[in-house]
Amino acid sequence: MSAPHLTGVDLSERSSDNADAVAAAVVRQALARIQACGDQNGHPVLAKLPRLVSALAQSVEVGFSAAHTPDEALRRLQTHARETRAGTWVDNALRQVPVEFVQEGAAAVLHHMLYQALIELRSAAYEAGIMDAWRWADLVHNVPLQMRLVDAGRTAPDAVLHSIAERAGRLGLEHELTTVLPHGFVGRPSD
Amino acid sequence: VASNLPTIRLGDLVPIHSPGASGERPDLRRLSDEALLNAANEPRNGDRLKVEPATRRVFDGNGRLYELLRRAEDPNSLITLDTEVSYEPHTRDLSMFGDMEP
Repeated sequence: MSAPHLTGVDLSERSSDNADAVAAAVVRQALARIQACGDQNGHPVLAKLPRLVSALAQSVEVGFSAAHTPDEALRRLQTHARETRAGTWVDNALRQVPVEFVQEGAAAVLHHMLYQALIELRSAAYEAGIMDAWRWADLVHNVPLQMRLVDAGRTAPDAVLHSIAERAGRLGLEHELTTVLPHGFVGRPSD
Repeated sequence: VASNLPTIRLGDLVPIHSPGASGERPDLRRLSDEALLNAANEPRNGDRLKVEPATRRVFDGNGRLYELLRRAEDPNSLITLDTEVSYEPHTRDLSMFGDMEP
């Protein structure tokens, strides 16, 4: 299998220094794999929902800046959703963001929406029996929530990678991640 | 139980995938009853049990649910099928994906 194609983050010198970006890159990798499964199986949710939220995942991956704020990322998602007639999914997901995330700001809202997309993809994949897509969604479904804790300084970025590596071991996806996770993470038990 | 969230009887919850689908969970097995309930009601990551109210299906937290249900069958556990757990309501709306632009 070829190395995962990742954009927006330099993985040539993978280390725990960019662990949060690596974790977000794994989410994008998972979305790409789920989308491919959706395309292959003609499953509309698995094919289209990853496309809708991949821009959101990229925003999380490259990090937010003064020029690329969470509010702007949220606005772009809403605009894209309107253009693709997926506005009702975005509106429904926004309504279900818990109040504590809303109070934290747009970045936390985006993290929760990405999490909602991933659990939706996971259940859709399981219901359709598309287990490759299910494994990828299961692998990363809670990564956005962990990244919210990283943003808030409540957990270390390395802990997210440990969690991904541990789950990858349970799901049989370790080999898929050897080119993505920093050296030493795959096959190492989580704390 | 988180005070600002709805609660549901443990025995009324419906997992969405088979037990062990995500692999063995020795981390959950090691928890005390109290810690396991805390992991369901006040998880550190904020990944609460996500339940669709209309169907009682659990969209996230199935690993914790299966461990809670296992304890409910254990006469030495304080957890029973009548134990109330808090959840975050999850309402699916996938209606638009049929006519989304490619």
